[in-house]
Amino acid sequence: MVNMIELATIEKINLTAEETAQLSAYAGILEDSFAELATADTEGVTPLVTVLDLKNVLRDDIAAKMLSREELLSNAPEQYDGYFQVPKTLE
Amino acid sequence: MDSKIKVFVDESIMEKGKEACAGSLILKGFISPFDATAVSRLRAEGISISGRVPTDEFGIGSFFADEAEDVPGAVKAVSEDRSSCVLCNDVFGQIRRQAALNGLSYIRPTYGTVSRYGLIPAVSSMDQIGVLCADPETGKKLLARIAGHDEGDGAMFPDTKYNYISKDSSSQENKIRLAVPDHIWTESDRELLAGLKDRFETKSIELKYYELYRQVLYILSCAELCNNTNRYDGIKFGYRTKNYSGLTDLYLNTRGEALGLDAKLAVIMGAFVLSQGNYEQYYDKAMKIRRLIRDSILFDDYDVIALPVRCGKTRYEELACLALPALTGLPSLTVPVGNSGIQLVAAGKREAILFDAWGGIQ
Repeated sequence: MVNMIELATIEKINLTAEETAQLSAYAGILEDSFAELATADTEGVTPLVTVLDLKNVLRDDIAAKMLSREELLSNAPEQYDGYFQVPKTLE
Repeated sequence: MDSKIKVFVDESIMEKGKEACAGSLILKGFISPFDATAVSRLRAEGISISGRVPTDEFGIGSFFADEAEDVPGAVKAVSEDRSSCVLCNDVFGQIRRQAALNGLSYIRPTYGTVSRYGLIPAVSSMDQIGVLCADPETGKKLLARIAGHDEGDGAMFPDTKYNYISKDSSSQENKIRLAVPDHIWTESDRELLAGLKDRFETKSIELKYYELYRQVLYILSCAELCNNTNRYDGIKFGYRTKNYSGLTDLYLNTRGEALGLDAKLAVIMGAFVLSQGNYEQYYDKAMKIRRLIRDSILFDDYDVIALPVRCGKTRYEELACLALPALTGLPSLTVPVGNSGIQLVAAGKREAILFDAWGGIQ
């Protein structure tokens, strides 16, 4: 059964009581339908991770142009002295 | 192609200096530091981007919104003649469906032929920039300009160009072999096919595992979306709550305030199917069935599959008839017919036959 509050906490999502009720109701419908997967015989089938049959597409190990520090920080909600600014993490 | 063509992109495609929020408050204020490859290729051809349109949050459509409120911004822009074509990411098929219902067309190219570099990731194994257009001929020309290998996207075929012209004339001289999975067409929509029987060699097929399409699509989408949205934490970019007293509080309130209800459901269901005890039963099983689905579509004695754009009574049920292109990476062309539409699906990199088939439908 989908434990909405526990999973939301793991995913760091604060839910209101109304949202918890709405999402729980829908999650129940989804979970019931997921049970139908058991009807397919997948014995010996390899999971399909990507639809492309390409393997290890790696570029040459040559430095490419990257975004500058300023560009990377330009979208930060808060920054200080060239770093991302976060609240105190240790009490 | 006329360089004055009005091309719009949806909010999930990055244009340098413009906000790209992927329809989510969590990316509000995120200014793209570079152009998506699709955008830069159009610019290189002298085609500028004339506007941006809103999209459903991360392109996954909504289970909670009202049907009446749910005509996507891209469809409105072309219907109202503000734009000729819109580049979109249409994972759950909402744009394809609404395009057809509003007299427009949507081309979803083969996965791995159009670069996703600069497309805000949602469901990485299914994300694919497509073209919404009033006229598939215009859409085809635009697609030819953005398709082709790009080092910025690690999951692409090596081909550098696609021209979407039939290599042999057999599909033009002979009737295209159209496969119709009768079991998924409703009585009312089956009338759309009646007029096609003279123009195509039609045969009835059964889509194996069709009853599991929506579950597989949703499970895999949620899992990937869950991982892709973990980067939105209020630290590096996008929205940050004003209501916090410590770091955990900042994460909880940022994501609680800024993710929409459908994104929350998808992220939480993603965590559910990936969690210990559920992984094999749901996520791993869905990946195995995805392989069975892909391997069941053979294109041996047919060229194109004709699917409806409507099925089911709820948004979740409707995913079934829209899921095949995303699950398999196969190309599709959705066109309006009567008061509804038809999705045409072909073998990988055989978009040309879809355009030939469209010629037969006109």
